[in-house]
Amino acid sequence: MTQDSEAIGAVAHSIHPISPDVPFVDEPIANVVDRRSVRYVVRQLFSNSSSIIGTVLLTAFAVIALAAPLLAPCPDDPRQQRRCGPDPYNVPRYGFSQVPIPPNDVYRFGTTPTQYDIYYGVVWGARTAFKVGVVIVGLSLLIGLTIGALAGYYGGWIDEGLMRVVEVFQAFPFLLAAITLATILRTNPNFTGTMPAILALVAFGWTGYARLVRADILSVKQREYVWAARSLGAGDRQIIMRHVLPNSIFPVLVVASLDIGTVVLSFAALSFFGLGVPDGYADWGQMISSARTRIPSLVEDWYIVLFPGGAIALFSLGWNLIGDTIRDILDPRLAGGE
Amino acid sequence: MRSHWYRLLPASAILVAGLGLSGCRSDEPDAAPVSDQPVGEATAADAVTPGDAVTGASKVPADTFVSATIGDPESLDPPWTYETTGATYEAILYDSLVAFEREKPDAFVPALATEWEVSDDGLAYTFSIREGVTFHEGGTLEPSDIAYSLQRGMLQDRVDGPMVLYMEPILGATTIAGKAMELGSVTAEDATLADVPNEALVDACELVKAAVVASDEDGTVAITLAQPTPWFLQLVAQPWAAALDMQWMVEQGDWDGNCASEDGTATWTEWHAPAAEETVLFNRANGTGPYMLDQWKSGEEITFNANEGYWRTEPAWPGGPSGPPALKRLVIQKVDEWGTRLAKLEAGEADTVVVPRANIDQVEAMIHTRYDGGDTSAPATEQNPDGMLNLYIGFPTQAMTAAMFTFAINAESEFIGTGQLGDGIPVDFFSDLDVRKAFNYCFDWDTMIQEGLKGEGVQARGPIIEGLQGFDPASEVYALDLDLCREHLAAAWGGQVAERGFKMTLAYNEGNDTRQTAAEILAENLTLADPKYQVSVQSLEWPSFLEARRLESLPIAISGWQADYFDASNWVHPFMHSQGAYARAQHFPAELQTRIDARIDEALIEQDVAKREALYAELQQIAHDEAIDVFLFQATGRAYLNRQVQGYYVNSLAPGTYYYALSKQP
Amino acid sequence: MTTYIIRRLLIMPLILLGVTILIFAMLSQLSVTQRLALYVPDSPRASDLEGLAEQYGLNDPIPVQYGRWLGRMAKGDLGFSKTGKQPVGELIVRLLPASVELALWSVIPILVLGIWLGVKSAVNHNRFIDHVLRIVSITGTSMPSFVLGLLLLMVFAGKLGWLPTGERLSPQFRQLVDAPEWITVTRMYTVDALINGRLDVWLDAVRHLILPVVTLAYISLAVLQRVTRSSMLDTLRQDYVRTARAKGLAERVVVMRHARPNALLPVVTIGGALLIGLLNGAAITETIFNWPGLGKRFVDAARNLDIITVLGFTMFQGLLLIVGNLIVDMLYATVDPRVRLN
Repeated sequence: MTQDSEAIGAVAHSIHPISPDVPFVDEPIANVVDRRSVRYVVRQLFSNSSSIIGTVLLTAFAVIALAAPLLAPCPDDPRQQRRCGPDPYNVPRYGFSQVPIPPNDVYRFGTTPTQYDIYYGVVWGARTAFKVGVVIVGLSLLIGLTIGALAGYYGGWIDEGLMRVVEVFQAFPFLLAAITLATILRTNPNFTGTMPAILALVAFGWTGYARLVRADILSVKQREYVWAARSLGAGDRQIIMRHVLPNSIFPVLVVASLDIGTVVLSFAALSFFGLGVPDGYADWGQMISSARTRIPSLVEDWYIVLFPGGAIALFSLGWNLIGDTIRDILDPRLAGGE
Repeated sequence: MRSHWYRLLPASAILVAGLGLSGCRSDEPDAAPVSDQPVGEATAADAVTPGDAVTGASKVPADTFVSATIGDPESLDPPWTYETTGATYEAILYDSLVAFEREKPDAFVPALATEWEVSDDGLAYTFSIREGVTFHEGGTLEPSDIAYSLQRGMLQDRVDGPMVLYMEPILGATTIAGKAMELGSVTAEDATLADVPNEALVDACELVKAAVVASDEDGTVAITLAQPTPWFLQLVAQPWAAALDMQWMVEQGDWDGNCASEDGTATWTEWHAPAAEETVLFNRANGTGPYMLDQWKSGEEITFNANEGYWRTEPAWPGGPSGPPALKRLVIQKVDEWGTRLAKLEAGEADTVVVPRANIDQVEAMIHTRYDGGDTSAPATEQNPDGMLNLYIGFPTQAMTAAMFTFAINAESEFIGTGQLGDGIPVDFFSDLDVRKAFNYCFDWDTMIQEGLKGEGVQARGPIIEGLQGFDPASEVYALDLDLCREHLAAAWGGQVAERGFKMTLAYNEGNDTRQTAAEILAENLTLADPKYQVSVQSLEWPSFLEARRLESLPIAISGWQADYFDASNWVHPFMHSQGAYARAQHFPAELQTRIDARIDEALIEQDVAKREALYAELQQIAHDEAIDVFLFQATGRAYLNRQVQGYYVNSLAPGTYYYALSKQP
Repeated sequence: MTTYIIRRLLIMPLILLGVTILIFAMLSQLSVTQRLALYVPDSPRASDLEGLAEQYGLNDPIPVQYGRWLGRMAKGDLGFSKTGKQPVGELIVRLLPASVELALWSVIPILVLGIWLGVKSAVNHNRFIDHVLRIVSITGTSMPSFVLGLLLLMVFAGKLGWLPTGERLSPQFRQLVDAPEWITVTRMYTVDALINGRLDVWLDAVRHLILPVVTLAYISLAVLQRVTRSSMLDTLRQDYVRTARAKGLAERVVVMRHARPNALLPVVTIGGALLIGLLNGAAITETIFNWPGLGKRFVDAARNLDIITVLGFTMFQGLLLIVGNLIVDMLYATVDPRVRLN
C-alpha cells in the first residue's frame, strides 16, 4: 500500500511492475504451506537482533494500547470528564492559552500548544494507531482481494473490466485523491471522527492489493496442483478456496501487515493538511501537526515533537523491522534450499 | 566499465552540492561580513552575523519592502472587492476623491478633490477636482472619469458586494437590480434582472447617472443623496470609489458610460453582477495611485513599482508623505506555512510577516521596541537592544465577535439532539429570556481575553463598539457568575430545564481558534454549572458552516463583524435589524423586532446629534436587557515590522498597511 | 508489443473519463450551498446564494453539470480556477516547470543513491554496513515527511542561514527572469540560466533547490534502497549466481556482471513510478518551501472544493501517470525477456 512518501504512490512494497497487464508470469511461488508453522515463524522472529527489536517494540505498543484506560484514565475534574468521559479518545485540555507547557509533575509529557495533554494523547494514540491501521488495511485488503481474485481467476472480460476500474482509481494521484475525498466527506455530518480520513485512504488504497492478488493468482493458476485438482473434477469455488487463494494470499498478507505501520504516516500526512481527525482527538499525527508551528522553537518545545513523533517513528520502525523478517521467512527463494 | 560510472555519480552529487553551498556565507561565527549574494543588486547585508538570528540585519534593499502574508486578493477591481487584502492593494494603486487623515477614520484630507462642500440638508456634495493628475497608462484625470467610476461601480453591483453601502444613501435601495424591479413593478419572489422591462432598466441606470454628475468645464463632481448620510465621506475615502480612466476602460472593453444603445435597448446590464474573473480590472490596474501594478502571480506573490509621476506635491497630512513613494518596490509574498514565514524573518528576508497569535512567543526575542499603540507616538518600551523588529500592539480594530442565539432553529438541525429537553434542545429553546441570560452568565470573559486572546482584547458591551454613538464604557454587561447561571436555568421553561437538563452542539468555523476557544469556554462553564447541561463543541468546514447558517441549523452562531464605516448604524443594523445580516437569521419575537426596527430607522434619519446618541444608547441597552447575543470581544491588533521601517500607522477603518507612508532608514 | 501499446493508448481516454466521472460522483455528496462555498468568502453578508448558484450553474442536476463541463473540455476549455485565479490550463502551464525541475533534480539522487546503497547493503548482507544502511533507510520510511522538511528548514535556513527559506530564486533575480531580455526556453531556472550564460542565477537556483530536494528525496530514497536491497538479495541466491561463484569467478564480477543487471530490473519500474509520482507534485514539500508547483496548488483546490481546478489537474496528472506507466511497461518488456505483453 502506501505511505506518505509522495513519490512512491501505490507501488511501495511491491516489486511487481506498474501496469495491471504485466504480471510477473514466471515468478515462482512455491508450495508455501509447509513452512508456515507458528513455531517456525516465532523462531525466525527471534533469530536476529533487528526482528527482536521490532517484536519488542510492537509488543510494547500493543500493551500500551490495551492498557490505555489504566495508564491514562480520564481525570475526575468535571471539565475533563466532559471531554474524555463520553469518548476516551478526546484528549483532556488544561486551558485555553496557546503556549505549550513543558513536562512537569502534573503533565508528564507536557502539553501541546493548545493545552492538550501529550501523555494521554500518546497512550490513547497507540490505540488509534492500531485501530486505524487495522481498519484501513483490513478494508483495503477486503476490497482488493475480492476484486483481484475475481479478476485473476475468471480472466477474460471480467478481468478486463475490473482492471480498467483499478486503472481509473490509480490514475488519480494517491495523496491528492485522498485529500479531495476526505474534504468532501468531512462536509457530511454522518462521517465524524476518523471516518473521513479512513474512508479516503481506503478508497484509493485498495488498488495495490488487487493487483498483487491478481498477479499471484495468475501465476498460481498455472501450478500443477490446480490442473490436477481440476482434472479430478473439483469445481471452481473449491479450486479457488482450497488451492488458489491460500497460496496466493500469503504474499499479499505480508504486504498488508507491513502497511499497518505505514498507514500511520499517511494519516499524519492528512493531518498535515487538516483533514485527519478532529482537533483534540488522540492521534499521534494530529499532535505532530499541531507541533508544526513550534518546530522553529524546538529547543524549548522539544517535547511536543519528541513524544508523538517518537511514537510514530518507533511504531513504524517496529513494523518495518518485523516486516523484513517476515518477508525473509515467507519468500521461498531466501530459504537457501527449497 | 559500468561499475565505474556508477561510482562517479555519488561523488559528482557531492561536488554539485559543494558548489551550491560554496555560494553561502562563511560558517565561522566571528568571520568578517561577507557578501553572500551573487552578482546582482546591492544589498544592505552589512552587519550580518551568520547564525545569530536575533541580530540578523535585513537582506532586503533599503528601497524595497518585502512582506510575507497569508492572504491573496479575490480581485483588484475596486468596486468588486469586499475583503481587506485586495482593498489594501487598491488603496495604493488608486486614489479616491478624499483620503483619511492618517489614522483618523472620520477626518479627511484632499486627494483627487482639492476641496468640497456639503449642502445644509446633507444631501448634496460638490467636489472640486484636481488638475494635472495622470493615470499610470498615461491618461489625464477629468471629472467625468470620477463620475464614470462611481456610476460603473453602482451599475456593476456584484452579488453581495460593497456597493450596497453607496446604493442606500444615493438611491435609497439596497441593489440596482432591486431598484430596477421597483421601477418596473416586478414583484415576483425569484425575479431577476431579465424579468424587468427595458424601460425600467434604462430608468434605473439614468437614476444612477443623475445622482453623480460631472462638469468638466467647472472641474467639479456633484453627488446627490436620497437621505442624509453623515458617514458618506468615509465611503468616498475608501478604494471602492477609486478613480478609473474612462477612456482606457472603454478601450479595454468595459462599460462605455451609456445606459442604452441608440435604439433604446439597455446595454449596461452586460457588465452587471460579473464573476471576479470577468472584469477588466480583475488582475490589471490603471489608477492614479502612488504605486503601479508590476505583476500578480496569484498564490505566490504580487509586486508593485513606484509611480514616479505621482501627483502629490504636498504632504498628505502634517509630516506625511509627498512626491513619489520612498519605497520603490513592494514585494508581497503569499506564504501559508508559519515556519517558513518565521525563517524568512530570522534570515532577514522579509520586513514584516503575519504572526498568528499562537506564535507570538516565538518572535518575542526579536523585538527591539514595543509600542503600545498603532504608531511611534505610543508609549515605547525597549525590549532587546539587539532585536530587529518593532512591535505595534494593542491598537483598536473595528471588529467584534459575538455568539448569536437562534430563536427558532431549523427542526432538522443536527446540533439539537432529539429536539426535546433532556437529550437535546427544543427549536425555540433560546426564545426564553432566562436561557439567554443564563448562557451569558456562564461565559468567562476573563479567561477568553487573557488566555484566548493573550490579553489583546476587551469585552464587547453590546452591538455598538467603542468610540461610536451610544457606546458607554460603564454600561451594564454580564460577567461570569455560575450561581446566576444556575438560577436562570432553573427558572427557564417553567423549571423543566433544570429538571431534565439538555444537550446541544456548538459549532464553529474550522481553523478559527478564537471562536473555538469561545465555544469551549461556554461549553465548559455550562457543564460546571451542572453536569446535566451537556454541550459538545464541533468544528465545521467552511462549506458545511455556510450551509448550516443558511439553513439556520446552528443553535448558536459565533461570527464576527468588521465595520464598513465609522458609525453606530453600521453595527446595530447587522446585529438587530430584521434585515440585518445576522439578526434576520435569529428571528426575534415580533414585538421585540418591531420595537428594535423602529428605533433603528428613527436613529438613521435623526439629524440632532444628542438625540441620535440617545437612540443608539437605548438600542445598546435593549441588546443587553434582552440578551439577544453573548457579545464576546473586540480584539486589538498587532503588527511586527523591521526596525528600519518608518512611518507605520494604523487606521482602523482603512484596510491594511498604507505602503505609501512607509520608508526605510537602515 | 505494438498491439499492446495501441490498445493502451486507445483505452487511455476512457480511463481519464472514468476518473472525471469518479470525481463528479464524489461531488454528488455535496449540497448546492456547500459547492457554492468556494465563491462565498467567510462573510456574514452572503445573502443572495440563490443568485450565485444560478450564475455558476450549480442548481442543475449533477449529470447535466458534468455534461456541460465535458462539452467545454472537449473544446479545450478547462474552466476558470477560483483558487488559482487563472484559467486552469494556463495555471497548469505556469506551475508545471517548477514541479518538473524539482522532480528531475530529485530523481537523480534517489535513483543513484538508492540503487548504490541498496546494492551495497545486499552485497554486505547482515554485516555492519548493512545494518547502518538499513537504519538510515528505516528512519526514512518511519518519519512523516513534513517533520523532516520543517526541521531542515529551521536548521539550515532559519538558524544557520546557509540556505534560502523557500521559493525558487532570490529576490534580486526574480525581476530578471521575467524581463523581456531573458531568454526563456523551459522556465526551469537551472536550464535557462545556463542558456542565458548566467552562472550566478544558476547557482542561486540550485541553492534554492537543495532543501526541497533533500526533503523529497530522502524518503523515496529510503524506499528505493529497501526495494533494491531485497531484489538484490533475491537475485544473489539464484541458481545462476551460485553457478557463477562455483565457477570460481571473483565475487565482484559475480555481483557486477551477473547479479546486479538482473536485480535492477524491477527497480526500473520503481524508478519510473517515482518520476511520475514526483512530477505529479510533491504537495507537502512544496507547501513547506513555498515552491510554486502543481502539488501545493492541487491541495489548495481540493481543500477549498474548487472542483473545476481539481478536475483539470486530475486530467493532466492522470494523463502523465498513464503515459508514464506505458513507457515504463515498454521499458520493462524490452529489458526483461521473461515478460510478455499480451
